[in-house]
Amino acid sequence: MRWLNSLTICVVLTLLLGIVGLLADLIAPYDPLNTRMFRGLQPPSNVNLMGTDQLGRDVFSWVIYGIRTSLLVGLSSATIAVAIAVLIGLLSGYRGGIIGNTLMRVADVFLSIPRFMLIIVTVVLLSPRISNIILVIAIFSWPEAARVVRSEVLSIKEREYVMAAKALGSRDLDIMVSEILPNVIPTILSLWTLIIADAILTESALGFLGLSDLNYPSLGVMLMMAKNAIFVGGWWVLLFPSIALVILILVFNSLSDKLIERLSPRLG
Amino acid sequence: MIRLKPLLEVRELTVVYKVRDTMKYAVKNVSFTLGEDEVLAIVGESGSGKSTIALSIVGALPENAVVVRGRILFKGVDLLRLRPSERRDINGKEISIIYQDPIAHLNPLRKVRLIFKDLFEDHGVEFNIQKVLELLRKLKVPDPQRVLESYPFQLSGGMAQRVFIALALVLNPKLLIADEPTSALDLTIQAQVVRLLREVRENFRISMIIITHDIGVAASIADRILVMCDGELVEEGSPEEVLLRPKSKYTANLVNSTKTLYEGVMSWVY
Amino acid sequence: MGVLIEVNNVRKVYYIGSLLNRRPVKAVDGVSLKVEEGRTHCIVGESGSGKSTLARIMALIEGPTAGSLNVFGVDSTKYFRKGLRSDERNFIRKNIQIVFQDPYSSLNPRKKVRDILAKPFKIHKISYNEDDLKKLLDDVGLEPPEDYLDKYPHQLSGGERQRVAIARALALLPKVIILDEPTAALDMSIKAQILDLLVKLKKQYNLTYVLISHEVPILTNICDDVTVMYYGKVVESGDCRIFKTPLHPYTIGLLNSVLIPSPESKTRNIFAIPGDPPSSTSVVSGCAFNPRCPLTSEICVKHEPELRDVGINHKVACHKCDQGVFERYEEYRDSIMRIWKEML
Repeated sequence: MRWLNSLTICVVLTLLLGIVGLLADLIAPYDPLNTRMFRGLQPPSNVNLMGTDQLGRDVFSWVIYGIRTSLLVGLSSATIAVAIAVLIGLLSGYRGGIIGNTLMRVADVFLSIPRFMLIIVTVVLLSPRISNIILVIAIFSWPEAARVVRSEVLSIKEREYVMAAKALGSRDLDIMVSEILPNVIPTILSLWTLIIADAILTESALGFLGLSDLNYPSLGVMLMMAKNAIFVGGWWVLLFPSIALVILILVFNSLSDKLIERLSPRLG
Repeated sequence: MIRLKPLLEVRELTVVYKVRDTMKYAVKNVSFTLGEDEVLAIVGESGSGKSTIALSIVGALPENAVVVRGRILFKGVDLLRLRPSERRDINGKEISIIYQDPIAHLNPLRKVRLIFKDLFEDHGVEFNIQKVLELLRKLKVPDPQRVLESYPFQLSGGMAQRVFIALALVLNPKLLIADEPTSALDLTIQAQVVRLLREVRENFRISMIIITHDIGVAASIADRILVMCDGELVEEGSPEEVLLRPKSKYTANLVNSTKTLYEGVMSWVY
Repeated sequence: MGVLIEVNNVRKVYYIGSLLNRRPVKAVDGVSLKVEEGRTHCIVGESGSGKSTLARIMALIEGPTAGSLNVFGVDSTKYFRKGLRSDERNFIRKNIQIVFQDPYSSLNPRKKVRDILAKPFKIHKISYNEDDLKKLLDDVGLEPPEDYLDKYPHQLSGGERQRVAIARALALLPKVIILDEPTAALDMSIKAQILDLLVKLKKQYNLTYVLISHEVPILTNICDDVTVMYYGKVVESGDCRIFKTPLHPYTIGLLNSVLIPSPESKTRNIFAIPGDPPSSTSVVSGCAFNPRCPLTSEICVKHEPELRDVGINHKVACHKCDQGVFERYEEYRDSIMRIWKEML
């Protein structure tokens, strides 16, 4: 029953979610943004699998597209954040020096101010366009990742195989790319999936506050509708987007754990 | 000669490790006895199973280890068949174990005196500070009062090792197990540790099992030596028998290669 | 025979502690020695003696804080400050290699053996083929070589990993190989095998070794020259005969601490030098060994002893060791041991 181990399940679920996101146009039965298709606040039925919200939007379609938006924002911002983090973490960890230390101080500044506040304020100041949202999340996510990468690099740098490479005459760049980076990859992958989970949550939170890009259905927006819908008995408006959000976050968090477990080298 | 009942009797011990999806035999059908006031050294290379035997005796095997067969009789009671709570009673009180790195096994946030107090309380014995002080003095710890009030990280290596041994001895165990007490230590510290263990044996008349890969250490302290290879017990005897008249090929090879290593020093002995 | 590496009064200081509370740690405190071509120079010392730091300095991984290091006649500061032509620099780099103590961490766990061995060739842009790699594996006794090329370090035993590390150091046929505790992490029978391997390779390739270890037994078999270090300084040096007639109490104590696998060991008194070695941050006045020394006296606490000649190719740094009074060496040694036994 080896195939039942958790990493496989995680990966399978991730792929499923990915497929949902990619094929949203094909899977979703209706246009989620269309508010004039149905009557408001209909419970789940044959017509609307997950019911409709107060504005008459099909919840099922919204959830499908919401998953796509979450994945889009999550993957994009995480990739950008990790790319920056790896670059800065490697350089400041291996080379150190004034530049390295300054960059870390900059990261510290970012880390000392409540992140979510910063994100909200910045999104409000710029316009809530999807590209801005992705960039803002990325910019406020790299500092923590960079710290982690840097500390890994610091410890790997002292390992004897790095000293051996130096003794053989390797150049710094070669050492960073060829000796250190491969050993940081498990951490990087794990960080990446963690940031994805976090970004999804942040994106939904922005949606909940009404700060999302209106062209990109956000699970958070549906939760915002649910705030009022529950008072009149519209439980479906709360339940389905919540389940979707929970699954998304759980899957990526678990993926992060499993990746680090599986990829860390056995040391004998 | 009257055969006294042995303190510890290991019968047909077989332990298996589950690694990913394979099973690996760590200990295969090992049997031996240990009497009162006897020192046994289990010698072997890494992977020979010697540490596994020690862990089996104190019940500290990792999760993926399974005792497939065998009995470990301590004073006639099979340790493997005891409930965890009963096992805990014995550990620390009747059977103690010390490891190589004392500082790693002592809580850095607690003063030494409190570490002792915790140990007494865990076993439901009233804390007797005089006993601790006397023990530390016997182990040649200078200024025991100050040591009790210190934190583990404030102690030097040699001092920490003595405290560790004191912790293992304070409840008067019948059996002390030392798992690789000298590995990776400097030469002079190794000598100190072995000296200390000898003193413990002489002062406390306690049975000991020393797990080591260093035959020199075994020869310096053991009444009997057991040689392990790949989980099997390949040789058993007094130091003289094992070193001068080894019966198994493995032991003979081992002794020969170490002989060449020590040639330069052997003639020099004071 | 030429002097390949010359260490002149080298000091290395590290700083530990936070920004506002930096304390200096004198890892190496004024060490001089000469490594001669074709000989095995052993550096004996325990933790805190500075031997590993010295190894890294000699391998040009770090530079000294003070003092000078000459390798193949060139001042190492030129090496670090890029004052050399690139072909000179490459020559030096290729001819001094190092093997580390821990076979578990000296090989990159993410690389196959074949990549690890190919690295030296790649760095110096020397062409190689699979046969070259196989020959290296053959030389270090890993047979059949094909079986090992595609393995990862975690698939090999400690002894096998160490052999790969030695093969890597050997790849460019350096003149000097520095070995930092090459057998400390290995089992007893493997120690002997690795030693035999080193002896064989030395003959085969005309190598010069700098062997650093605290394991006295292995050193006595293989050394030509010896330097004994304690707390960052040289306390005794000379050729291998000093193992037969050591004068410094530390060396005598060290040799007597060896636990010998012989039946007599059970009844023999075990000797251990009393006390603990000084910690790296403690400040010591006078001779660093004096708290544990049987010969200690006032002058030892006040003044650091200088390294002075006491015989042909035998230097000692001690105020009080002087065999002069005793007719035979054994009496000198016995008198020291007697005092020590009383101290215990």
